Amino acid sequence: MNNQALQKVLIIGAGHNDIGREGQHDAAVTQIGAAIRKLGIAVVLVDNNAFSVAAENRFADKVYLEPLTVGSLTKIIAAEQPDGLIPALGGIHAVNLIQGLIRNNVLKNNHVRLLQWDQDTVDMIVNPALMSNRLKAIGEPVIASQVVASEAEAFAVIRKVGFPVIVKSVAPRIEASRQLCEDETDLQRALAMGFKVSATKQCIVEQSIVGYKELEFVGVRDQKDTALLISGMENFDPVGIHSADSIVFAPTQTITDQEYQQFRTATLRIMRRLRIVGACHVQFALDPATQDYFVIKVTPYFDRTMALAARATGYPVARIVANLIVGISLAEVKLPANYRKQTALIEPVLDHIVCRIPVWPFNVLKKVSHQLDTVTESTGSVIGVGRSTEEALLKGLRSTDESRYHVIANRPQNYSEGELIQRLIHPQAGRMLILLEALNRGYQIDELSELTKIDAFYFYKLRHIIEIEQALRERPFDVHALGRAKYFGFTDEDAADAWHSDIHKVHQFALENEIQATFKEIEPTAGEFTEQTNTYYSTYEFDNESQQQSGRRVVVIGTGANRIGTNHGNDYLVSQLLFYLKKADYQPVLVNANPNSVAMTPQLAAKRYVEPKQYSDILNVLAVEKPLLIFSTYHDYRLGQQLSKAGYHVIQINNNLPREQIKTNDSPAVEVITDGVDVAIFGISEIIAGNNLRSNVRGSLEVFPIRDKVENQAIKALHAEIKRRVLAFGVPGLYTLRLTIVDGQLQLATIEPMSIATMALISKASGSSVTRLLLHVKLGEALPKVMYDYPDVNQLKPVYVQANTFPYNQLQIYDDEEVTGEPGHATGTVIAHGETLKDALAALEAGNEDTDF
Amino acid sequence: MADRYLILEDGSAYLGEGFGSPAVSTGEIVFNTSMTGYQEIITNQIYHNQIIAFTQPTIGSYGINHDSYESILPTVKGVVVRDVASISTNRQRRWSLDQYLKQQNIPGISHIDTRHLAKQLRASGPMKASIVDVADAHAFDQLNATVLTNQQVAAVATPKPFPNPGTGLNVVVVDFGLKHGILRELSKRACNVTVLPYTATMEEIINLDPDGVILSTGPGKPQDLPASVVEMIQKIQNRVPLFAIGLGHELFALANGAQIMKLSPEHHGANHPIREVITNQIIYASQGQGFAVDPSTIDRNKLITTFVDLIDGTIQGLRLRDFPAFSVQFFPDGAPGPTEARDVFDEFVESMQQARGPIW
Repeated sequence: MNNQALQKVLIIGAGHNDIGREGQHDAAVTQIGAAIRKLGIAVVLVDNNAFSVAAENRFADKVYLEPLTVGSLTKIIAAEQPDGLIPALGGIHAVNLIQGLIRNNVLKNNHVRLLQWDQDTVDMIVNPALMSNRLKAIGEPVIASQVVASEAEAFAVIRKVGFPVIVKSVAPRIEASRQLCEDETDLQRALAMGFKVSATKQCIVEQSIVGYKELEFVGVRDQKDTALLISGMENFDPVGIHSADSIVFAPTQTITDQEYQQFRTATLRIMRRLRIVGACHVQFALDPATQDYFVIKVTPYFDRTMALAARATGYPVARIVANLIVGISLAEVKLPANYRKQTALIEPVLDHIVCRIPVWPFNVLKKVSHQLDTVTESTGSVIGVGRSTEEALLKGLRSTDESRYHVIANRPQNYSEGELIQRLIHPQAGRMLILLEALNRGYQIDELSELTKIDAFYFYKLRHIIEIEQALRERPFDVHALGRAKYFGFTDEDAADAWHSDIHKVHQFALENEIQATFKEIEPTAGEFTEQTNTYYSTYEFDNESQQQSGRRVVVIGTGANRIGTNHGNDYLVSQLLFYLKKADYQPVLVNANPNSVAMTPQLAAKRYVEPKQYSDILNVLAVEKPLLIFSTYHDYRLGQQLSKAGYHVIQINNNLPREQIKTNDSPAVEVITDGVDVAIFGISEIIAGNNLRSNVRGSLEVFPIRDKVENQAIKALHAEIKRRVLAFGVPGLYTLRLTIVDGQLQLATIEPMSIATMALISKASGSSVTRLLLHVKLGEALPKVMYDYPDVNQLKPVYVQANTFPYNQLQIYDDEEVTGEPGHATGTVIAHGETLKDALAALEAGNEDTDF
Repeated sequence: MADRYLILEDGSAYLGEGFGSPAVSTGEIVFNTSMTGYQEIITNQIYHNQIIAFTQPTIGSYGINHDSYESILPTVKGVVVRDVASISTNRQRRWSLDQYLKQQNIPGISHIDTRHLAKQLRASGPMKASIVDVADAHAFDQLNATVLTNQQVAAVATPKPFPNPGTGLNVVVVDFGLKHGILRELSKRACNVTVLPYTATMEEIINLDPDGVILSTGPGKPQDLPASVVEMIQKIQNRVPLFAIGLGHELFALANGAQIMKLSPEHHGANHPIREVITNQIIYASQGQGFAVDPSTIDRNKLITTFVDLIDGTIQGLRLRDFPAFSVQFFPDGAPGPTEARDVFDEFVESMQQARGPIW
């Protein structure tokens, strides 16, 4: 490849967040865009994700907030004439678009090189049957499968291989899941869904390997064919539960060196034979009885597992891949001074254990099946990091928030034996509690392992957790019992609960007895070399490695897992906050356990703690950092209150109140900022019903700015009242004042803190971040100083519209009562613009052909 | 489980919990960063008289497998871990690590801050250490008074020849404390193998009419072996294809005039990039070395450097210019570790075939 010619590259973003698309793509774009720009190559980014961090803050040279369609990309490519296209950052949707660009000769006609992959790799990613054939040709074992275009063909396959089978869609237009079919009914349903989302109206029917161990390996390779393994990971749950819905451990916990090397070799061989440049994720199924394996899936684009590999190892995957993409070899990669010179070439080794735990939307979407199977249902995940399997697991569970107090207290003790066995065989979300309860009732480990196909190793660990907990209960305020419990991942809260005591008393008792958290660095060499990743986790050992961050330290509490509805924009807010805190010469220290979070991008915070957000976990961090300030978001309101009470200066930044369902079609609002003395108006937004867009639309859209004369004049008239109402609120910040029409007159109705969605909308419309403004007024600066260079939004030409996206199709919810489109169900937000509202709406619709608004 | 201590010759002590044998033992402590393959590492004779600290936090999670031994009897002096796993045993894995160490009279100690220990050893280099019940002055006196043997090869190498029959090329393996992986790789290539004690003379070897000779891996410092070993190598390397691994590589270098130096920090793991000089390819291989060939002492008219560790530039492979004799410092058989270096066994087989001439 002639690297000299590479002066400008195009990145296709992933679009709005969704199930399976949590932020890891935007995190990759953020890092890779920045790294490529540093190498002197211009970066053009196309995305329509309203919460894209990469699309703000100059992580790219030029950003197009345009629909992610072949048509719009064709225009952008014609206008920009990039030299290369980076295909691996936008998920499967981007791969589909690239296939369209190739088929329409757009790349060829504009002399754009496809970087990282051969063109036929694009076809293989989109069509698993092609991938399967290629893998077979290079000698990798794959599962027997066949492409079918009708039910009759599918049943012909069944006659040969028998049930159970897995059905997946060919060339799905969305991140479609594999469906396990045990009988005819399952098969018919899976085929109907598969044909519907398939661009070619085809499905693949394949032999089932349910119950095998599932392993995930991630490697990197450069153009000179140097390849190495970044991480080998193991699913706690067997094949049959989608890996996104499975608990995953890094490194592998139960496989032998022979098995591990078999997968390492296969991963690197696949990358070499497919000539993949960059990172690649390969999933395997292992028959534990015979060591035989199958390759399940090859994913050469960024996904949640690559994000996990990066977070788990501390290996700077994105930065290194950025170099590989533009033709630099692993041996030539220059990393920042905090890494050792050859770090890109060292195969990462871990001296800690990472446990990723999914988070499900079932508390919000009641009618969705809680059964865990081959369909992804989790909306996000968290990681627990520790020095033992127990500690990693307990910290992970704690980070999900589901088991806020502790795993034992929430156990389903009232289940009958029958119910328990049903739940063991047919796992549902929150199964860890079921497994613990079964052990507590005396089920034998080997029996449970046989029943669940989960390796017995884990049941010994779970039994150990129960033993520690029992010892804790039996010995109130016993130093050794507490020390032991904490050593294996329990907290002051757990002890307080076991001892029927108070967290503060337990915390004090622990401190008096020198049971104190120590922090260890997450770095890729297991202590063999000095690496400074500035990323730490807690454990209870001898040596503490985390020293207080120098400078004006502030601790920022991250958002945790991506959830449905209320917090899907929070990570954007936190990322922006970190960025502008650094700009303002603060040293932001992030506490976050979400491996897919953009906020975890190394450039954003000065230092990171991968920790749960339970009160005592945060106290441990604060004991080291002693920050000037703590920032928390609305999601952690209670925690913020507790920390304030403990004497810390906490700024609870913004909020993310779910917007009320707006009944009227047009509901204008005034968007303002105040420092507590002055009030400045950004402009008028309006929420309009979306049901004139598509037949099944239920959600509402937000438009900004509204330049309707009547409304603007009304605001002028209301100016004094707006100021009075906002100042009466008393707290510096961003606010939304809703207007209603009474007797034909616009009047102020309600005032509420501005939603993150509105912040993103105004930021993108103005090309300048309102998070920055929010931060500065929160820090006590005067409005004129903060706003001095902020553009007058009303002078800007285009109209921006924003809409929520919903996971109904993915979750297979077709029930009209549940498909309401209320903001609480949203997983993502898309943005579009146009000269007029009509143009903007057309762009919005064009970009989201497969999404329900 | 009982409280026990790991004490080090610099006076530091770590409190932990005993597992395996309750014996008190003393050895040189080294840390290993491999993430899998504890059984292979514990049974590798290069760790004779050493205590191994694993940085991978959970050890023992897949028990002891009947096909993962690298020697019949392990001779390590101790195993140091953060956490030792309980497991269910079955046909493939009859023993847990705990049971196995009990049988072999090897003490283990868990609940150790192995990350801190690794960082300490990285700075200090290997030290004498003991696993004891009480960390008092007496224990430290005992530790300091202990003189570790330098006759490690004599302790672990076979005293008598034994065969590993095959139907192909005839290979003599000179045993300095060999790793089973070497025999496994030769078996895969159908070689007919005779393993000889390290004291074998050139005549004894030649009398077996070998197509090639392997100098095996083994423990300790190469200079501690009798001069006759080096003389044997000098005579044999000009007569039949020779392949030397690990300690064998160090002896091969000595036999060709190079010096051996102490390596600090040592290499115990499987993740260093190693560059093959001729192809410029980068491979990964299992390493366990406390010594290295001093590059400044290499006679370039005689030896070619074939592999280099990219982390610290240490020589990882040598070749004679004029004869089919070559060596690698790393363990090309893996076990544990990456398998991509196994090609060098093919190279050895090719050199034997060439030396032998056409078979027909």
